[in-house]
Amino acid sequence: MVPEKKLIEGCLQGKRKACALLYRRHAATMLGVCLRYCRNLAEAEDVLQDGFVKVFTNISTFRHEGSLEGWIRRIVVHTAVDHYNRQSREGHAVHLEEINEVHISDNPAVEEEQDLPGCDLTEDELMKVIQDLPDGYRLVFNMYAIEGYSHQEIARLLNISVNTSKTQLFKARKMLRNVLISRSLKYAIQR
Amino acid sequence: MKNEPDKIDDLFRQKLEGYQVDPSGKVWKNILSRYLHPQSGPFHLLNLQNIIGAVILAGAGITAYVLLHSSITSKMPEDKILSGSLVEQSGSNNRLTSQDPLPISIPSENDQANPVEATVHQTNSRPQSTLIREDTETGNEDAGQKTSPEINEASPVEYLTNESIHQLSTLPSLAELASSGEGQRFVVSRRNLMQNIDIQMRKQDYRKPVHIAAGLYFFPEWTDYRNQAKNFQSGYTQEILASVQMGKFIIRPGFGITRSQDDGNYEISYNKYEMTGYYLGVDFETYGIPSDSMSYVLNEYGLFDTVFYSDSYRTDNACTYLQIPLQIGYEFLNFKRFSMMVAGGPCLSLLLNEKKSDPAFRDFAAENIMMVDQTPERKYSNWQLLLGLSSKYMITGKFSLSLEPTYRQYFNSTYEGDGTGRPPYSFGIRAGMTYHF
Repeated sequence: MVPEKKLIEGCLQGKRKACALLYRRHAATMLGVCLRYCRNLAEAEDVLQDGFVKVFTNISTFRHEGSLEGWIRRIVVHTAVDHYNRQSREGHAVHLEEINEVHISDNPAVEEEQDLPGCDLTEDELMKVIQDLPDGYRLVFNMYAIEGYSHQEIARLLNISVNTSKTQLFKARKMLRNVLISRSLKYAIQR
Repeated sequence: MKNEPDKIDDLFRQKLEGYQVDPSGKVWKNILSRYLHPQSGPFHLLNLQNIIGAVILAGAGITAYVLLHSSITSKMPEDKILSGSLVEQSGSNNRLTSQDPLPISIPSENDQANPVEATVHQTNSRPQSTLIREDTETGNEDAGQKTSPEINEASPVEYLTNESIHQLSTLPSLAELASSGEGQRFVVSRRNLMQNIDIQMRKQDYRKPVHIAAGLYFFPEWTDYRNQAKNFQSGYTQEILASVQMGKFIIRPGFGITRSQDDGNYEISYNKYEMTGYYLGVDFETYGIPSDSMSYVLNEYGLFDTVFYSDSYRTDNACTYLQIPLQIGYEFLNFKRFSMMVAGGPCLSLLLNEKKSDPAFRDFAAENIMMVDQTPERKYSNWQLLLGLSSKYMITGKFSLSLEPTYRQYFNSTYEGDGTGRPPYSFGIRAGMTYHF
């Protein structure tokens, strides 16, 4: 296996083989990330393509201080956010500020102390559940719950208020919970 | 980074964090074409689309020139005098009526070494006209039959209208001859005569109906790219435009170099070890001073942690384009030195160079700095419709100044992958000086 450092050096020199190896090593994981942010596979592949072009263009700025995968993941997530922002400007996606805010406590877990259903669902099924969320819910949930961004960072990246970010997260969780409950009931009936 | 762990969050994070799907082959193919086969140098412009565009522009220019030129020359000789075709004069065909343009016999180029003798007459039927003829009788209908065969048969005859003859009569040499009476013999060479006519025509009338001109222009523009923070980005073009004027129609091909500004957008994230708060700590306590009491001496202590920052930085980029415009104009106002026209036509822009500047981020306490260029890529070529209202002022017979407010509508976005569906537009002022051949 070619060491990561050598791969990066090859990419910096514009070597096609090194770029192909780097792509092959991370493409599948990054498409998984893109799928969480997009509605379907075609959209996710578009984001993945833009993301990797940015990776190769900016690889000279990678300073080996963190993991390469983390760095690539961050670029891909930002590309997905850009994709959403462009769609929002275009009118294909609802801008988050247009959705009414509700007051959310800083301790969202308080509202969700019941037993969580849906643990039996497969990864593909959970991915489908996420993809079926409205654009804004999906984006904020992914950024907060899975990537670990703070509400302040989400608010700045999406150009929304912190309270809107909290609202979106609250609604996303609620919707996910309802979907998981209904699916669990469905499975229980089928069994 | 999160405030509270959440069961739903955990479920999705655990199940989907390592989720993998193999992408289709077209993704890598597209990445290859966009990044690994970069189109560098001027050769990247030699793709089929650009070649077809350039051929269309050149072909349209030549076709318009041929069509307009043939339509103009078919109207001769009534209104295009000095540049019109020459007609042989012979026998009784040179009989003149009051509606006919008057013939002027001009010696051939071969005669310049031996200037031809000719006579200037003020005719009775056309008092403002001048004839250059040898041994011609005033108002005689058989004048042509009596003219010298060495001039009439061998020399071409150019037809002139009364207005042009009037202009000819103002030539110093000819006017002097005309006033000296009929039958006066004088010597005139073809070159001398034509030069005098040309100079006099330029002095009296700047409306040259058919001519070619070339100009240097400076063209500042303000473009709304529709997807940037600033509404209008400035840019400027240095252009060389040729123009072929035929009557009221003008064809203007050319090329120019444009430098335009562009917003660069960098996402910079970094970690900093810094104070996130403080607490009061007890340094020491004392008992019984002054009496059975306890005193605490407190001090503020800082709490330090690694804080993650993520900021956006705007930079100024510059793009250089080769512009190939082709405009068709219509001159709707022409008053001696001043004229105005409307012009419009396609323009092809080809990206020659893009200069990106790095963000000026300096924070010595920052670690794990990651800079990601989020600036969308510019397209290598795009088409626009360029419209203008041009005002021209002839400062001499050869040079003119022009000022032209313009509007440019792009057919597509100038950025790759920009699906906003809102192509840019721009306003500008094209100013320059033109030399008229």
